[in-house]
Amino acid sequence: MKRKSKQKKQQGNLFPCSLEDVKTALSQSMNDNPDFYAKFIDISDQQRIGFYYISSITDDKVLYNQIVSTLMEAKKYLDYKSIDNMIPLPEPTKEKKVDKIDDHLLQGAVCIYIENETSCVNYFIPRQEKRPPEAPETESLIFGPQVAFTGSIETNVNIVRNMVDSKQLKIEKFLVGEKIPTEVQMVYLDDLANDDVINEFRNRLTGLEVEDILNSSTLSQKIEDNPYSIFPQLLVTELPDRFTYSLKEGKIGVLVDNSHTSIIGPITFTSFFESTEDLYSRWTIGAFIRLMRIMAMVLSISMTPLYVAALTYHYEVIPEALLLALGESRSRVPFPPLFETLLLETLMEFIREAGARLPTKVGQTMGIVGGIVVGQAVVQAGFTSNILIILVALSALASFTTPSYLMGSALRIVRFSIILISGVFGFVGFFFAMAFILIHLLRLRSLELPYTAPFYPFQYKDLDESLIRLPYVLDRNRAKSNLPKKVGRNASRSQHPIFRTSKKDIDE
Amino acid sequence: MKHKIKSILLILLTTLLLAGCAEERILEELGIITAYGLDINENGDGLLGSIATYQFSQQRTNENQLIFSTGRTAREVYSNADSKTAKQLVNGQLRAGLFGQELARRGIMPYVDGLMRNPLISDSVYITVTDLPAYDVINATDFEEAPNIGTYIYRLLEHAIVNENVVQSTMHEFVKNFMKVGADPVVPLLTKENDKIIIRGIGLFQDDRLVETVDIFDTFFYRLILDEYERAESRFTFPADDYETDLNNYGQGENNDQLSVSVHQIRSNTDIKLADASDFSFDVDITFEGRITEITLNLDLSDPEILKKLEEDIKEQLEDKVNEILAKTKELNVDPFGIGALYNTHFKKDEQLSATEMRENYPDFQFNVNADVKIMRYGITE
Repeated sequence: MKRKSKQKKQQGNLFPCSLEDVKTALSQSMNDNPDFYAKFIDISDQQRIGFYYISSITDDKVLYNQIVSTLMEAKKYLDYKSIDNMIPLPEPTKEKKVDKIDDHLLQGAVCIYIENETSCVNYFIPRQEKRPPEAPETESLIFGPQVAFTGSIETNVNIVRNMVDSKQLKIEKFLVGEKIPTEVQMVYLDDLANDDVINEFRNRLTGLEVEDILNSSTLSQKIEDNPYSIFPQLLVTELPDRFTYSLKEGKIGVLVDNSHTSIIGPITFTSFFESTEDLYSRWTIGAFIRLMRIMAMVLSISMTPLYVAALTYHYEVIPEALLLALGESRSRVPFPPLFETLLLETLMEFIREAGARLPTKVGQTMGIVGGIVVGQAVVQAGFTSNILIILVALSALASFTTPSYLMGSALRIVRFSIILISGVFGFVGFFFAMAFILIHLLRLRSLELPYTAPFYPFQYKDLDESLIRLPYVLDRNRAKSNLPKKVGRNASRSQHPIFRTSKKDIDE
Repeated sequence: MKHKIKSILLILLTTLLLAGCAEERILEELGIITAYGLDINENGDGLLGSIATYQFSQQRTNENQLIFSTGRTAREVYSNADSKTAKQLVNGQLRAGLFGQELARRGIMPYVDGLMRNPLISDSVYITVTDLPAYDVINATDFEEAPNIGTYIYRLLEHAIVNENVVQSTMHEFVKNFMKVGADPVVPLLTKENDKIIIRGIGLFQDDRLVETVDIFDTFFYRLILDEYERAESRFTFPADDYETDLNNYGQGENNDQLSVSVHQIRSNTDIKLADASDFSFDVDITFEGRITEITLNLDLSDPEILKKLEEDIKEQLEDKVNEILAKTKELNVDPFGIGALYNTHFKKDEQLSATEMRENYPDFQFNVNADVKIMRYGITE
């Protein structure tokens, strides 16, 4: 009977009541967690004030130095207005309902209650263990800034704000997750990003009905256009410079709390083969490396399947110079080419996975043992041909040139299926698989924009933003396929020294 | 969605079961034929085939395996050979077909046709005839660094064709010239010397029958009429007496009654034009440029008179040789230069000569040969 009335009180209006009542009510809704604290102080004979907070997520220095001790020294009758004048913290929220107070407490607020008042006031003093920004781990750069996003969304927004000092930078805040909400911020440049795309992205984020999200990678998979596809349709990056560069191109970024990575959209297939490295190095190098990555991607998914198909069905296409070398190294192998290749590719994946799961120091040893010792032994034992070892190693290397780890892994998985189909149907199967992948890519969309732009739909002027990289003098437009509000970059050609005609001669 | 996935799986499964049984040809289980020779067998009633295949092994250096078999048809030869080896014989990597002289004189088109119809065989397979029986030639054991006799023949001919020593002789060319009205095939003639295959010259065909072989020196002039030269080399010899007054006093030994000149970097072009259709007369204009690299007697080439005389002599010899060759083709009634086809291009379809009419009329063709010889340089010391 007693409990029932209490519950009734909780749902309805608890206040006014005693400090102890508040404590029991809150403690109960906190499931009697040990890190829930309450502190009561007497200001005067008539007045008692209670502080309620969760110690593990509130900043106790601020709490004691700026709130509790200030009020203890007040020595006068207090109301919420005078409290607000005494405490130098921004934006207190007044609350009357217990379940609302719970939410605030869980986000790092302290709840101050003057006994027998009809409401309480909350100040946010969250404590977050912040790590300083560290060097990027999965997307390392040679030239670029050695900074990666951290786990704290505040630090990340701080980094982004510092890199884009513009009034146009617009941040929208959402809470995603019904059971365990996570803070998500959508960032874009208001004068560039396309409104339809912004709306699309916003709808995806707000319309998401999930209990919780783990981090940005899982969020991106939950809002992608085609969740069944093997290819990622949103770019997940840990590089703030890549993030801000994309914003400046008119794309939209999403930062997720407690997540070391951010999401960028809309993107195209070629985005995964671009790196900010290309922009930092000179244009010749950048352009070369970009083309090389694309070539590596094609080689990576085609070399071993072609080997399997040619050796199983199409001996007549093997060039005369290779025929002997292939035949000799194959003559000792007891397996058919398909099995041989799958064996070696799987071994390669084992080595990669083992190296990735183990601590760095052991992981390196793993690579050496796997790569050199096993590779050598496998050939000597006559399990595989040495030419296949070269091909498998080459295609593995080629797949690691892809700057995005997600895309690199996707390509490796795709390769397995192409190998299988090539082993069963030969070249017919190979080209069928290639056509299938191509059709699939053509049908994919990223935030309702075509995935294969600028190749299809073809945009000649966008090629310099994807496949090649032009010197900056010639790079005067943003990629049109992002549909930015403004395509031109506002850079007059004459500003470059070489276009100044009134230049003086050196001997003048 | 579930229905869709099910139907996709069903389609995949049926394709796999219906079409999945493609014939596997795993490389190391194949006897890959690189060259094959055909002869008439001892009894004279069938064929004797000699087939050279790859043999993959890490221990051996000799990657050649020869299989001999007989049969009435080329296909029978092939299937009989298949029973003589544990490997599956395949001919997708065939490089050269060798036909023994005796067989070639009877006609080789049935066998070439068989190769032509096989989609796995490339059109650029070399068709050759051999001086000795083909099985003897293919049995040569010295094939330089090539892994295989077929590969060796391929490299040998490739080299000779690039160097403009012999005529182009792929199966495509052969069949093209065979089919064309007013043209006959020409193929390289191979022989064995010191256990090694060499090129001896060319073989002239009438339709698909070998009628005459030409040695390597005369091959130069055949090719001169047939095609243009970019970088060829040749030698001309004259009696030394003609130059007696111009000779300087070195290199004059006993046997110097002959003056030989080597000309290289020859650029030539032969232009055959129909002069008069009524009596089948043609103008054969040859432009010939070259550099003298070697001369057996000491001539003062810087003297324009002597150089002119030399040019005149070369021109004369060139014209003689070309006339001689053209006369010979008339006598044999073979048309390796495609002059008949050239004649036909001047007429409409219904007025053109048919293959038999062409054969009848070819001996009546008349040629007016005219050469223009120019010696460009004669060495750097003047």
